[in-house]
Amino acid sequence: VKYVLLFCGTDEDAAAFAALSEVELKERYALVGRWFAEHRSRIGASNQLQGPETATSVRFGPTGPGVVTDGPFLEGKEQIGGYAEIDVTDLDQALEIARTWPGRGTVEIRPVITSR
Amino acid sequence: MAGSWHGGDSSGHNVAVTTATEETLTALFREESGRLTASLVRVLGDFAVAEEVVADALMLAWRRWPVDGIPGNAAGWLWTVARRRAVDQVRRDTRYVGKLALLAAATPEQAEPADEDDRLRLLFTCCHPALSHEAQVALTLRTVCGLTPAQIAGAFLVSESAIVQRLTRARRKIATAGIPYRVPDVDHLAERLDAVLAVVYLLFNGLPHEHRRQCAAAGLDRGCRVARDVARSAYAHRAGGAGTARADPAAPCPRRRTV
Repeated sequence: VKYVLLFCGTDEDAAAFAALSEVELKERYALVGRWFAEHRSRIGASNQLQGPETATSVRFGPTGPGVVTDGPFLEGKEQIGGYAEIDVTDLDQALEIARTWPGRGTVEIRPVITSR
Repeated sequence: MAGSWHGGDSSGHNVAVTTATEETLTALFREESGRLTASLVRVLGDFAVAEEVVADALMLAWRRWPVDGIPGNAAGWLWTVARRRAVDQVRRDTRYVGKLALLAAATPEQAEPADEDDRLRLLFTCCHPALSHEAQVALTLRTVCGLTPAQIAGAFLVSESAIVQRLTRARRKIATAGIPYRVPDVDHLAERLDAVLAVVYLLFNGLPHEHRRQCAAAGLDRGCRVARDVARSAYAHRAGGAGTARADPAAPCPRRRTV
């Protein structure tokens, strides 16, 4: 089964991340790098995203053209910082990988719709 | 187990049978429905279809047996009917092509030895942490204990449609999110056991009297089995006694939660 892991966090998580010292940041990235290396065989496309302040959205109403707005779709305190596609046998295996995520915040696991 | 239970609740069934037969049937159905569902979920990997064909088989028995008498091998009879219905269902849906051979090969005799494991797997799947506590409880009562949505609704003073919806959503999540059908390995058993115990505990304390005995027996039965398995695995893995202690059915259960 293919899943996408969405690496999410609240504004507080983002603030805590931004407050990391250079050394701490290096350590964090090292941990994350190790995590990706460890699960390399299961991970497909993955990327870290620029912050929500860089987001642009095209919103579609029931009819008519989309309207371009500044800002992310998720308007609350949550934001998505990155994603990784994984290919595993079941949710338990996905959970096992997600549990070891060193980036803190919240990891949302979503199954990918695959054509039969 | 059959015939030893006297809290028969026949509401929702309009078939006229004698009281004694009705009680025997209700008890028998409760026992067999969990067993059958568990085996069919293993073969089909689909809760909805498994429950549907089991319901069909029980319905047929409910009509036939008061007239024809209960067959000597009641479990085998039900299994044969349910399997036949499952084959029909599977033929209609190309997604299940690979399951046909499995179904054809699955005889009650072969299903029997794996039976207890199947039901234990079913219990762990129903109580997977990816499902809400409410969904876990409803699904366990439906599939492991064989209560009808109406009975579950009555027990928790919720509307039947709400329970049906809860069950549908839970089954869909199991299928689409890829929640596996198995007992977790020893490394994860302890953390998964809490949810199972919370549900089993609710079977003891949160249900009206007439359902309690049946469900508690079913839950405790599986609970003891988990305890034995954990003890065995823990010993084999030299993982110490932590897992064993938590699996002790006599140990204090998690605090009661409402549904």
